[in-house]
Order: sequence, then structure tokens, then C-alpha cells
Amino acid sequence: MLDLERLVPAHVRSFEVYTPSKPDQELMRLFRVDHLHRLNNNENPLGPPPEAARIIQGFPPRLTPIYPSGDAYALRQILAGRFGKSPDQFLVGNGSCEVISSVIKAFCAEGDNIVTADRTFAVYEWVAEFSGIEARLTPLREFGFDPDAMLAARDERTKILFVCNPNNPTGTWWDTPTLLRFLDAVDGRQIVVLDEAYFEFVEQAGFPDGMKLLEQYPNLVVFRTFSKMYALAALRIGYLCSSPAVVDIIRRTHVVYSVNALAQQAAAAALEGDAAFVAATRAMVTAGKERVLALCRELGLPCQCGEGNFVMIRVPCSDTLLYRKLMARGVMIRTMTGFRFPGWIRVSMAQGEVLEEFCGAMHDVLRA
Amino acid sequence: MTDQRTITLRLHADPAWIPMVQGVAEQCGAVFGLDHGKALRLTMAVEEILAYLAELTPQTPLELNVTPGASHVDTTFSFAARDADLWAMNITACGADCAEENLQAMGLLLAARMSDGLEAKRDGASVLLRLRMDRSYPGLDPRRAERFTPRGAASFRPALDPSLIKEACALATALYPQSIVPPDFRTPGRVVDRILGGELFGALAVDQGGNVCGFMTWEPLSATSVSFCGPYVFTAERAAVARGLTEHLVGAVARTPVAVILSRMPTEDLPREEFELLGTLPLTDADGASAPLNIWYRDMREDNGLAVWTHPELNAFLHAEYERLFLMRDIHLVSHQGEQVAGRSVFATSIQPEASQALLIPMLDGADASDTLRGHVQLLASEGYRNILVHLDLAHGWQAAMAPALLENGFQPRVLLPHAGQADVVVLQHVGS
Repeated sequence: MLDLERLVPAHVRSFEVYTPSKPDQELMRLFRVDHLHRLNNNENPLGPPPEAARIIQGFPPRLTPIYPSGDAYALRQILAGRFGKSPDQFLVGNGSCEVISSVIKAFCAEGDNIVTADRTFAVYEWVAEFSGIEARLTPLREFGFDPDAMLAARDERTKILFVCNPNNPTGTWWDTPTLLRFLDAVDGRQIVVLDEAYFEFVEQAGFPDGMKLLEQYPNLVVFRTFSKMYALAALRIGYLCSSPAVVDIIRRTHVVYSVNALAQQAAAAALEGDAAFVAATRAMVTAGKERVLALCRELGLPCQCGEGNFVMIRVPCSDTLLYRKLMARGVMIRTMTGFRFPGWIRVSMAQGEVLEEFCGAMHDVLRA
Repeated sequence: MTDQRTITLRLHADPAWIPMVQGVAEQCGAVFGLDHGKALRLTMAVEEILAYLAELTPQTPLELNVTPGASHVDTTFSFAARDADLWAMNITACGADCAEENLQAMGLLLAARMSDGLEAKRDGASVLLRLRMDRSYPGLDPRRAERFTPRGAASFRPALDPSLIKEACALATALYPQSIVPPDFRTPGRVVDRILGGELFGALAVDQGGNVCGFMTWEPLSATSVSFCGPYVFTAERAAVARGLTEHLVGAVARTPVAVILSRMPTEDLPREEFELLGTLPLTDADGASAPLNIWYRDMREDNGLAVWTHPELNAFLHAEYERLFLMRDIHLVSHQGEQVAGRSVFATSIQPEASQALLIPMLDGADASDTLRGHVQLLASEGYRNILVHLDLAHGWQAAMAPALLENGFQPRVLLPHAGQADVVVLQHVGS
């Protein structure tokens, strides 16, 4: 007789199964709508950059029987050239979630812990916990990561500090002096992961570029993704960059061949002459934020708008109820209860007409 | 999972083992911290259950487990049973001629009277009867209290300090009506034991002077839901403390398997804009006074729909509730259409004497469902239970199909509890009980 109680470790038994949302067609049927604007996942609705789109449209079926490059060889060469690094400093994964897992597996054993914030991208905490590693969570301070609290939360078993910069979902960010003070205080005793998933959206002059700090801080690991700015979320591809010695360790726990050939080629193409695409996306995000901030003023709603392609809004009702009401109008937002921000929603920036529809739905629902 | 301190006995449903079971219960009760009176009641309760099972399902292999809880002792009887045998689980199983002189056949009811809680569960062929016997704790000395001005802003933390927990219980009891304060608060030592034992969870608001400004407790209701009491606020300015406590609760259960949180004893301080009102149960307290109970809930994640079953007679109620609550459901109709319904119906009964409440949960469908329900209502009413409720889990078509039997026996649908079972649960209440 199958005895799961005995077979399954306690930390796995107690872990919540993540239930992804249903396919759009199914949601549209359930909510009886004929369209669905996805403002929930911080996707870039402008689609992939033109060069990436060309690769995706032209991917030859004859290549599908052939395994992809097991370590994204060509893409790492391109990344190395772009950032002035060695290809051995890059590790490409099936989205940043996979590289989070690889880093934790590489450095943490039973009894170790990681430190991050309580209200940030959940996957650091999730991967640690279902791996049997303690996740020490420090409260945000004024919506931002608190460097002193993170430093104070460490002990001799702390292996990794995860910093999301800018933070998802608050958009807050550490400037260069703050980051340098933090890295100096850590002084190489832990790995510091700087998750820059939204780096390409940032236009603030004082925003630090983790890539430029790697030589000075060999314990620093920078995450980037092609899922956000480069609109390749469906292909699942992201990467990390660090010192060769650290990457050599992480590579040992990283599954090779996990990134498919189309994703590797599309990602490489996305970086070709991407300036115009990035500028167009930033313009869309800037205009979108202006519109959403105006909505908040009209409705008297507090909001938290920082860097990144999203805005958090405090709503005068349960965020999960608002979700259902907006879904019934064909607008999908992200509730923030799961991020430990009950009563808040996060809205991804999109084209003007889409955000107008969102604003109209908010007026209808909240003034009804 | 079995507690390492659990005492286990494997036996058969045979009255010859009654002295042995009594001895185990008495010894375990004493070792696990029950006072003499409680241990004696436990001894009598297990005797009643074994005698009952021995008469109705003779020689059935049984497993008896006695486990110390944080503030109580759990005694469970588990056994495998065929559907035909499960009828024995009805507290009315002794039939129409059941009377006070047939005490052995009234074993379940007698055991319920002697214990602090009795519940029955069925999972496939496995049946579990659980008796709860609470340890005795000294009661709270009555005191007066007034809301105060805190020293500086309150901070919110898990309730772990026994002194602060006991102070919070005393203040909640002094400042709020008895009907919305858990009876446990009047024995603060029990609350401390339950929290430190991991059975109950709490949040405290504490000002910069170390004064307790507020308190809130919650506990698991099912694998994916928790029920909460509070928030109890002791400061003159109440909204910020109430909001902080509620946010602490939400933060504590976010990113856990908990899908919904439901109120058990909500106070007027609950930040209602954060919750949805599911409905009001017109309950009556043990003294006969009206004690309507609002049930509030909030989803912990996006609700993207479910499939549920309903009988046509509950269809209008469900449609109206789903429409009002903006919950998307695929509602499938189910009803008896002349097919043979094998066996006899079975209802598990969970009894809370202090709340004068009995909850019936269908375990097995049967052609005699209406008669069985009628028997339950008569018996429970004669025992003085003022609130008789039924939970139907709409994941199961056969449960939904019981609606006519419930309606013809005086039950009315009151509240819909989203995700409270395998799917949504409808609460029906007997009118006039």
C-alpha cells in the first residue's frame, strides 16, 4: 500500500501546490467574456522584438528532431560580447525560475537558510522551502527591501541573499550607494543574488547595473530574463551572470538541455538592434503609468508606482473580489494577497486602448 | 500522522474488551493531563462507544488511538466498514424503538454527552470516530477594562508570549460581548497551550510601551481553509489596529495551502471592505437567546471557477448566491430519476454542546434519507440542541441530490461557503430547531 506520509518529506507535504491560472479560452468561457486583456503577468504586449519575431516565424520544422545546444553555447557568446564578459560567466536557464533553483541547490544544504524580503517575487521563498531550506523573510520598509534587516537576519548558516531590484511588485529599488554598502557589508560571506528581471525598463540615472559590479564582487550573481522586456515569456528563457568560479559551481546543479532551440535563437535575435524596441516599450510603459496614476487620482486610490512595467493600486475592497468583477469585464489583473499585500492589485502596463478599458472597468466596478 | 505519544490498541468490537478499553482510557487520561473527573468521563465515553459498536457491528476490527493534544485528549476509533454497516454510524441507529432503557444502542449520543466534542468521518471504507476531552483550566477572574490610548504606534507580531496572550484573552473577554469571544478565552491557559502546541494561531498588536493593543486568533477549518475570531481591539482608536491584525493573519497564511479564510466569531472591528459577507446564520445560543452569526470570507488567491452539482430545488438559491458573490461556476443539475438507490443513508454528526449546535454531514446516500434526517432532527431536538445544521459539499452529486430530503424536513439553505469542502459547501439550517 502506498504510504505517502512516510515517503514524502515534511517540507514537501506542507508546501502549497501552485495552481497556474486556467487557459485564456477557459477563463473567457467561465467569465462569459469575448476577450481578455492580460494585465496580470507583466508581459510585454508589444510582442517580441522584430528580429526575434522573424526567427520564431521562420523556425524550420526540420530542426525539431535535433537537441538544442545543451548549454546555450551561441547565446552565451552573444551575451558575453554584449556585456564584455567571458561566456563562462553566463548560465542560461528555462526562465529565471530555473536559475533560482540551480543557485539554491548549488549552495544550500539541510540546515542552511536564505534571506530575502517578505513581499517580493515569491519563487525565491518557494524554491527554498520545497527544497527543505529555511527562507528568512524580512519586512519591506516603505515598500522597499531593507538592507539592514537583511544583514541582521543572517547567521552562520545563511548562504544566499536574494534582492529583487527593482522589486516586484512594489517597483522600489536600491540606488548604487545602497547596493555597494550592502555588498561591502556582506563582504563575500554569502552569495548575493541581484534579480534584475525588470532592468531594461528602468530609466533612472542612479539605478545600479549589476553587470558592472561583478569584477568587484565575485560573490554577486545577476539574474536577467527575456520574459519581460523582450516578450519571450512563452519560450521560457533567462540567464544569470557571475564570476567564473561561482558559475562553475552553479553549473554543477543546473540541468543541461533545459532551454529549447527556438528560445535560444529567439533570445539571441532579440538582442540584435533592440534599442528601438526597448524605447517603444518604455514609451508605452511611461504613458501607461500616467494613465493609471490619473485613474488613481480620479478614484482617490493610493498607489505604489516605481520602476518596472507595473503599478500597484490599493483598492477599497477585497482584491480577490475586484479580480472577479474585472474578469467579468474581460480584464485580468493580479491580486496581491499572495504577495502579502491584501487589498492591493498589480496592473501591468499595456497599450493605451487596453488601459482605457481597464480604467473604464475600474470606474464601473468601484462606483457601482 | 500519528503522534509519537499516541497509545494504540488494536481489538475487535466485542464487549469482552470493555474493561481493557476502560483501563487504557483511564490511564491515558491521567497521564495526558486530564483531571480525575475528566478521565472518568473519558472512561465512560469509550465504554459506550465500544458497547455500541459491538452491538451494531459485532467483531469488527478496531483501532483505538489515544493522543494528547495541546489542551485536550483525542480518542479515536477507526475501522473499515461496508456501506451496509455504515448505517450504524447514524446516531439514530437504534431505530424507532430506541428509548432511554436501551442505553447501549444510544452509545454515540451518550458518548457525545460525556465528551467535549464528538465527530465522525468517512473516507471510502474507513470510518473514524473522534472524541475530544478537554483538560480543565482555571477560569478567568472577572475584570473591568476600558479602551486606552497606546504609547506610540502598535506593531504586529505572532502571539507566542504567554503573558501577552493571557492579557489579550482577559481584555477581549472584558471588552466584547460573550457571544463573539471564544469560550476558550475565559480559560486563558488553554489558549496559551493551544497556541504553543500549534493547534491555534494568533496575532498580537503591541504598543511601544509593551501594552497589548489587540488580538486575533485562527485555526485550520479544513486542509485549505482557516477560521478566525476577532479582531479584538483594546485601544480607543480601533481601525488601524484591526487592519494590522487582519493583515497579519492574511500575511501568515499567504503562500500556504490556505485558499480561503472564513470568520467564526467576527467582531465589529473587522475591516469589512477587505472581506465579503457570505450570509447570516440565525443561531440561538445555549440559553435560547438569538445569536445571529455573520460569516465573512476572503479568497487568498484568484477564484477562476469550479464545477458544482445542485438539485433543481437548490438551483435558484445557488444561482442567486453565485451571482451576488460574483463567483463563476459551472452548475450541473442532478436529481433522482427513478434509479435504484442502494443501502440506507448515513449522516455523521458533529456535536458542540457549548454552542448547542449539531452539524450533520452526509456520509452515504440512501432511499431512506428523508426518514433518517427526520430521526436525527427529532433526536437532536429532544436532546436540546437549538442549532441543527447540514453541510452539503457540492463537489458530490449524491450530496446535492439530497436537497429534497432536507427541504421536506424543515431545512433551509442559508449560506454558501466557497471552497470550504472539496468544492463549495452549502449550509442548511433546520428551521425551528
